[in-house]
Amino acid sequence: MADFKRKTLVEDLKGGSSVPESSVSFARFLEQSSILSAWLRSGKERPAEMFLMMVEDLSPLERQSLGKLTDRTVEIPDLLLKRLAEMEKENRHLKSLLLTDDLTGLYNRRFFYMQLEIEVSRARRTGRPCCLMMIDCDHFKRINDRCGHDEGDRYLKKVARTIRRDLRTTDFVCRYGGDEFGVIMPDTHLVEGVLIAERLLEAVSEIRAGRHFSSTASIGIAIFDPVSDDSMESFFKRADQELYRAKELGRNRISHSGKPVRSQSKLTEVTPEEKRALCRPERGKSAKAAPVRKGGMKAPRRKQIERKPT
Amino acid sequence: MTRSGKSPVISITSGKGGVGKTLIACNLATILAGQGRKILVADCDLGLANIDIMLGLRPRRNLKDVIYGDADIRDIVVPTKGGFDLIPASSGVREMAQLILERIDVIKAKIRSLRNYDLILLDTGAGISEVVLQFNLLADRNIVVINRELTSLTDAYAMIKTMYQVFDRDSLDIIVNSAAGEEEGREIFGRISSICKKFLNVRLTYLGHVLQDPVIPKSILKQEIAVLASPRSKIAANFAQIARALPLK
Repeated sequence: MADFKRKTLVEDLKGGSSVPESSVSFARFLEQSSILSAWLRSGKERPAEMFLMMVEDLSPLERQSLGKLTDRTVEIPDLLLKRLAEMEKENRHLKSLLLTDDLTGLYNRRFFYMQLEIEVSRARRTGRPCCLMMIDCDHFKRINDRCGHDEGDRYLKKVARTIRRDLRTTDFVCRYGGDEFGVIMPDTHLVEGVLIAERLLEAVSEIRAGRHFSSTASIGIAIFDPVSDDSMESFFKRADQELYRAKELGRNRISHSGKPVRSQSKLTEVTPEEKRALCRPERGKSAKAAPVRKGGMKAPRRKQIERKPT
Repeated sequence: MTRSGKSPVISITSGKGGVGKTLIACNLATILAGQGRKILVADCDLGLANIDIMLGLRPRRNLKDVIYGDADIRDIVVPTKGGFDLIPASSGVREMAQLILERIDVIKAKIRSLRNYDLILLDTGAGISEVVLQFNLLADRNIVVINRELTSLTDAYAMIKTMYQVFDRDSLDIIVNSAAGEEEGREIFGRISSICKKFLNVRLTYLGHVLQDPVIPKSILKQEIAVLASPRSKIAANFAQIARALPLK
């Protein structure tokens, strides 16, 4: 942070007049790519009078164009630079405290809601779906009661680590509260979400709490449909309801709102007998196989496919 | 089948790929359109859509724009030289098939909302994927295309079995493609029909055969519709026969 090769202070102090539009937009552009920058304001009515910027390295061309836009381009002393860098670092730390959870180091509930809102807007804009997974540790209270709160905390940390490890870098893992975690998975289809959840469920079941307990988790998943007029609130509610359903159904399972992804292989299997019959030309009615009645043993009926969209 | 009401939907499916679903959809639609009917063909082979290629079209927008964009399904309908309307799908988008599964209800509703057609033909993809099954389910009737290859028979049988066991479809239609003649067509149909009756209690209806004819590969190469390019060919007669066998007004 402190080892800038060159430092630039750009000033525009044209007797209190406002900064020309071109230099403002140019400064903004530079601001985006620089490490540290600040608009310094003085007076009440006037717009920014000075734009302070630190850049790691300025090419002669950049320096030249900056010089054209502003009155002065000067070097600032190392000490000031160092102090500014420290402040920036401290700022970031404070910001992170606001958004992360102390115990697990994951994002906290505040961040969760902020990001969920962002991702929902993003999904609407890009038309890409977004999945939300709510994870709750099964019988966490039991761990707390029998092994003590320290062990409970250790367990939560392990769970947090496991979730973090098993998810992709683009997912947002948050501690929603207590033993509940929320994972926002942008640009993710339900099929993928469920696959990830399955993996996660397995990984969590391998975590040991204390000496004896190995605990499980329940997961609820919902998908945000970018085309419908779905809201963030209902998106979250659906995920939460699915989690509740997973608990109701007996824990240690995943519940989701989508169509079940079925494997057809067993269903469509053509039996050797059928195959043989197909492969030889028709020869009267010699085969003795009786037609399988609907609902009979050979033809298990599966009707759950036409589930109403929830 | 009144023009103001719901359009009847028939899917063309097969189980095995490369048996001529798309060819049959295009030619059948052309014949039916030639008889003064308003026909729509929807390319439902969402992973490897190819009707547009077969017809030498380059549609600007396709089904994907309806599913993930702001296009209305009516906006993407393009006229074809066969006299029927076409809903193109996007080709070569591998993720498409997967996406469709999640949006299948929306697509189904959108296709269902298309009124004023005398018939909507769904050209499904190959295989027995969930997406194909869903399109078959959407259709009022299913035409299963087979040919004399044994794999085509077993795959078609697997499709019929699934449609029966999962969706209770106990009546499907058959077209035999690339048949050497009328007789072979009937023989191939008889084989699968008797086995479906015997093992599944499914009733198959024979719509007819399409002759193995050099007219077809020629028309495909030229991106033409066989029954248009050679209206007096045996192929054209075959398709006219199939059109008559369809339960249409």
